[in-house]
Amino acid sequence: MTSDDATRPDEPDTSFVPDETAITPPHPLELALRSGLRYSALRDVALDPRLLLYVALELCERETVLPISVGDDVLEIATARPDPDLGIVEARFPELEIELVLAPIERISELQDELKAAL
Amino acid sequence: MAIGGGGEPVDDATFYRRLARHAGLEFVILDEEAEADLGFAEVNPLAARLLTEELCRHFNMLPIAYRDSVVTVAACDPFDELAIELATTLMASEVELVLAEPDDVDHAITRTFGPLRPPNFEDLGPAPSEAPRLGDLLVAGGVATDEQIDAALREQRRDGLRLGEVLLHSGAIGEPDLIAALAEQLQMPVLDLRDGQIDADVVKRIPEPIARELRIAPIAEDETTLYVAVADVLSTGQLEQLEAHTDSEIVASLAAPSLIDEILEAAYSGEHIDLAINDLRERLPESSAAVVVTPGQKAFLVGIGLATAIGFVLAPRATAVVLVGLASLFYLSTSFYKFRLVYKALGHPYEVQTSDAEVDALDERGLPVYSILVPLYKEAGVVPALVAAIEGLSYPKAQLDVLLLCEEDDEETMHAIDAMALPPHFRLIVVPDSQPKTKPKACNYGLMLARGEVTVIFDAEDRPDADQLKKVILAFSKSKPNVTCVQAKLNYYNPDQNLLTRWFTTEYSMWFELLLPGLDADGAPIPLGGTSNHFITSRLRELGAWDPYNVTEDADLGIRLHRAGYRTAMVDSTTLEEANSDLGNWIRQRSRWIKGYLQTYLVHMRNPPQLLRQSGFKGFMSFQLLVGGTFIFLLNPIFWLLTTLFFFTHAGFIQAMFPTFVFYLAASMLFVGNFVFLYLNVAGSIQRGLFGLAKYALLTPLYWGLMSVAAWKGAGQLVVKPFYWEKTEHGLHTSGHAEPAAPQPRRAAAPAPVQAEGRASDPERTPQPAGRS
Repeated sequence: MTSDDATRPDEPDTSFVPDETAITPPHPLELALRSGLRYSALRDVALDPRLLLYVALELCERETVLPISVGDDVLEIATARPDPDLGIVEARFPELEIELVLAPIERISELQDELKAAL
Repeated sequence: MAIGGGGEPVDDATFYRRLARHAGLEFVILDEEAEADLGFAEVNPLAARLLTEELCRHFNMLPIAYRDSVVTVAACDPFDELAIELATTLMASEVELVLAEPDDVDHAITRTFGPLRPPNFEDLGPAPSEAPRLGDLLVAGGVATDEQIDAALREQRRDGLRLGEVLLHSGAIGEPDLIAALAEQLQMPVLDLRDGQIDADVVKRIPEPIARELRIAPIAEDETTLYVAVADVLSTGQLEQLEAHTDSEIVASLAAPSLIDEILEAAYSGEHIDLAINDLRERLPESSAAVVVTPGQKAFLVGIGLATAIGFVLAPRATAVVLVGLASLFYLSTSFYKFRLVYKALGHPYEVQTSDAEVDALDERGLPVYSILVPLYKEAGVVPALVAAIEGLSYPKAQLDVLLLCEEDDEETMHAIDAMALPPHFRLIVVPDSQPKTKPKACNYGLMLARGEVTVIFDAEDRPDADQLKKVILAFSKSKPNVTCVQAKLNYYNPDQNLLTRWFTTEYSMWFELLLPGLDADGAPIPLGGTSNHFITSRLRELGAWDPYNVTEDADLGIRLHRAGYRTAMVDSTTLEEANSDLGNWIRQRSRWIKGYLQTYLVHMRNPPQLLRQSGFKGFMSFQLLVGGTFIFLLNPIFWLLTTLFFFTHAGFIQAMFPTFVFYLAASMLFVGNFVFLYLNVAGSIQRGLFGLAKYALLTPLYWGLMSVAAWKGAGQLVVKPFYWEKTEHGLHTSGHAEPAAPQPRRAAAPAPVQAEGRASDPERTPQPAGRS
């Protein structure tokens, strides 16, 4: 098929579809800088399975997040991207401030596996 | 701020107190030694037992208080939806959640139920010697009296059933009372889910036959556990099998058997109705009347029609002579065959004899569960009499499984049934609205839910003999192994209502007293009557049950049963029915019967060589002359017209249609045929002892006229509305006539409405036994 018969003049040319796997995702640090969130490599995190009562493991896996600490008013959640869907956490704990921390996706997954093993 | 809190995790007390505050819940301390602390909550031991130990331990939660229909449950996870839903459902109460430390909850559970033991399902219930007796519990609860318990214990010794079942089915106690007492006795939670929504996929985790056999229904599941409603405690073996099958731990709760039935019915109704309509059509398409005429039959009929038309064009006289000759031959053959059947019937003991002594000697502890299917449609008025008739049956009530089959759009009948608050051996089954809306479809639907080893159909207006079920059990035990159906005799309670009911009665007498014995003696297939036929349930299912597209599904089933190598036996027990007394009503009913016979003939003649092979020559010829004999009612008006025309006009073309040899054949038909049919009607009435009706039998030629009207209506409907069910109205006998007799005590004389003259009447079923009348 040529580009002539693939598109009409008023249509965008969709014949070129980039290979998404070939694109390197931005580094979380870079994302943190862009989004204004904090960054952590999660090297010295003390895992606490009880935190899954705040963010269920299924949600952690789906959104690639991990609750890493809770204080009197703040729940700290590591995330691989700046915009995870944590609506259910916000709804369940309306008085609690959620603080996102960007972290490498591989490290979050690794810690999730450790948590699962600890359960 | 350091990531991850920057230090060691906080202790449980702090963590869970904080979690409770974040979730907007109260935090409680359950430790009895901390009674003085702020937030201490005392565990109410009665409330704590509202949930089972297994559930409490599994979800680490414990009911701690009960106030104003609200149960306070201490838990560690504020958002475990499954745990909250189960607690709400199982306790049938609103749940107020409070948070506590896990160790605190765990210790409180141990204080309530004792230390954690290794799983042993045999130990789930208290030892029998320690368990309070059910009778004591019922008396203590004011549900039953000592006298009722004593009477039930006597009954229990006779029929071997469980005390609770005896009390329940006798109406002494209600289902909720029994379940509450059992829950107390077995220390099990009770489930009430009548208004709950249960996921059908969860219900189907256990295959339906197993669920029905064990009377259980899965209601919820999580990653490791399947929560099951049970009507009774499951044995260790049953639990192990279920756990192996579902690969889940089984946690059981008690529930009313009727609730379990409702859950299963709701989950499977779609599949059941599909099977009720399509099973026979898909499994044995050659036996289904869903296709009225096959392409081969169509080609054959068109060929015959064309040949006849061409014949009339090329040689009209010769064609007419051939047709008249063939018709006359068919008439004569039918007459002679019926005469032969009568001859064979004389002295032939066609009923399986059962004596009162044998019925008395039956050990009720060995009687099987008996399913009674009663299809109902817009028959609210007859429900009380029907229930009284079934309650009058001499059979252990707990072994009865009565299915009242109501169409979904028949709210009036359903309300009438609901209003009667029937004992639990009655089940109201709602047949989902679908086409074709026929009695056999409703019966197929009911058959899938039937629990009995033996299944019988009764019509709404039927009054079966009190001992009928026991006699049928005896009849099966005395019959050859291939006997699959036992047909009870049928009788009318209103034979002398008017001329129509008298004719109807003489016709039934001829059918049951002379022709059926003859067929039985001849080993020919017996078209069944639409009611009081008792089947071995498994074989009925194997045969594909009733054809929902055939409007005389009973007659069709009788032929299919015979072709499959099974046989039908008769039993000396009577069901009283209502003879149709209204002319329009009668025409509608009879037109359906005749349409159904035509359907049956077309279905079984799709492959004549196969029919011949399966039925044998005698069976094949019997089918042609008896079921095929229905065509006579279509031919009659033509010959009556020719005769009348010739009488008044001496028209030459009519004379030309009857050359000498055809004339003699037709004359024989006129005299022999009419004599035979009149004789059969008179003889049938006399054989039955209905001497008073014999004179009315002499007037049956007028009745044949009505039959032909119905036949042409039925034949027309076969073309335009083949599956339409002409509903027959019941209860017409009540206007100015006696109410039907109650079921007769066993040793009373045979059901015998008083005749104006002669002996008591005892009429039987029609030559076109029908379905939903």
